[in-house]
Amino acid sequence: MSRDTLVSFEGVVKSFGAFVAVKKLDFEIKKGAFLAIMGSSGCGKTTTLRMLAGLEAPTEGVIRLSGKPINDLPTWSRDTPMVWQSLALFPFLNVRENVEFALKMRGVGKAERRRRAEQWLDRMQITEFAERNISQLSGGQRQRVALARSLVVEPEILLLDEPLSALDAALKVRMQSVLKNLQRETGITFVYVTHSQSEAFSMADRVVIMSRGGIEQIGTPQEIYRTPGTRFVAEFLGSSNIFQGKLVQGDGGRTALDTPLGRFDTVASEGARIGGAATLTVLDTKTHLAAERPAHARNVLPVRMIGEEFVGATATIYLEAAGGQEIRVQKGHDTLSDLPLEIGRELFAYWEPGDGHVIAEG
Amino acid sequence: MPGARRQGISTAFATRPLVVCAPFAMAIIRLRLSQMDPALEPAAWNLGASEWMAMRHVIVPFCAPAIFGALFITMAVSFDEFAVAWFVSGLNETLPVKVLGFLQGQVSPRINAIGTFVFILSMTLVILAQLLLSGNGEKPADKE
Repeated sequence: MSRDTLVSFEGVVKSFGAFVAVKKLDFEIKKGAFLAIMGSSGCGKTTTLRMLAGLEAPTEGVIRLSGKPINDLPTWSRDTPMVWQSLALFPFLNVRENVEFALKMRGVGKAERRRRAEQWLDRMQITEFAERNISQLSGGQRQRVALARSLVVEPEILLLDEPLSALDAALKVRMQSVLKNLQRETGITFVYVTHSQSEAFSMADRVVIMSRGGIEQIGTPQEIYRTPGTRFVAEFLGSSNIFQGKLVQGDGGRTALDTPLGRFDTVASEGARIGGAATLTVLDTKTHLAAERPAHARNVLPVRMIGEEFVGATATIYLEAAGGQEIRVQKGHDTLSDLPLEIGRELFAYWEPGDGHVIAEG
Repeated sequence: MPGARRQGISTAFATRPLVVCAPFAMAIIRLRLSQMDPALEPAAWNLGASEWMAMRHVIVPFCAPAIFGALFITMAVSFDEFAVAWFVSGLNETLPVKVLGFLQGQVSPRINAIGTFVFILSMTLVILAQLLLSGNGEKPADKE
């Protein structure tokens, strides 16, 4: 364990009776990191966070905070404040009293309490609401109160459990930048649990992807996006076209993948061996379309157009290859103008071998 | 009421309102508890409150309107209730028992006066309870 590690999970298992919620977690969180734990519901991400907060005890393994095991430390003796999905603000206290709560529990004197709460009210720009009841605040203001309430003790780490899930889209984006800036300015380690890819990728500098109680991949958002570590990750992100097949030695000694849709040239990747089963992922932004079979391209796939979708300046074209496999192509509007985009039209999808990413299986 | 209680309170006499009124209080307070965000108590622990501190600073203040509401309702119930009091009171007659005694004897204007008084008192208690329980953004005290 290096010196800049704040939290480490060592072989942590959590089971509820016969159900194993989290199996054998081994990972570290660095000081000052913004870590997102992402996964679909039931993948164990919230349980992991709750173990870190001390609201669940690990069945096996050790969790360390700054090197010290904290398994047996009750949650009120840890400095691991959490921002809840429901925010869990105290409805019988006003904004200021909510923010002062943690200080009051720690026996901080009245004057000092007020001074420190004032700082955070000011920082979160909610000073003008200080005397208001929680029920009189908007969603965004409540978020800020919840953040101030957790940060007032100036912890080393802040845990966030899908705090933005109840907000509308525009406010969500605004709060994302508030969170990101807050993290950067304070240097407090953030551990952010979410099922939303856009939230995780836009804020975190490190992302953990979990499924069925285990870790699928840990990496920077770029790494995970460009080179998904497992087929699950590629499917979960949904930003790549995925082909399954067997790795073979192709023409001229090049590595290729034999799939039911044909043979695609690829570049060799770590751990992939000839003859082994593998998954090829090609980002939908790196997949191109042509009306005529492109002569220069090495990987060409005949497809039929089945739909299109426009979001802002980006268009997603939905296509179908032989056997009904869906292929997606994402492009800027302007680059599509010379293509005959009609439903049912036969087109050709193609990509460069170097844009494919091979995931070895088994 | 002078003379309503002539002697000390016997055990049965003290237990009576407890048995009769506890279900009312229980129903009111449990209803309030069921409205509580289940994350509220762990949130308090997470912010440094021990289990007892969370009880004192979160659970009780959250339930305060229901607790006071229940207090007034049970006072009204206990005060007006006659049948059980009549059986267990013995020499310690409660007001309703005394009133029955009056009625069996002679017609006295005192009964009208007592009736008015009891009616106003009961209604006041019930209205107070209603105000607390409908909780018009009322902020119960957690102030020092």
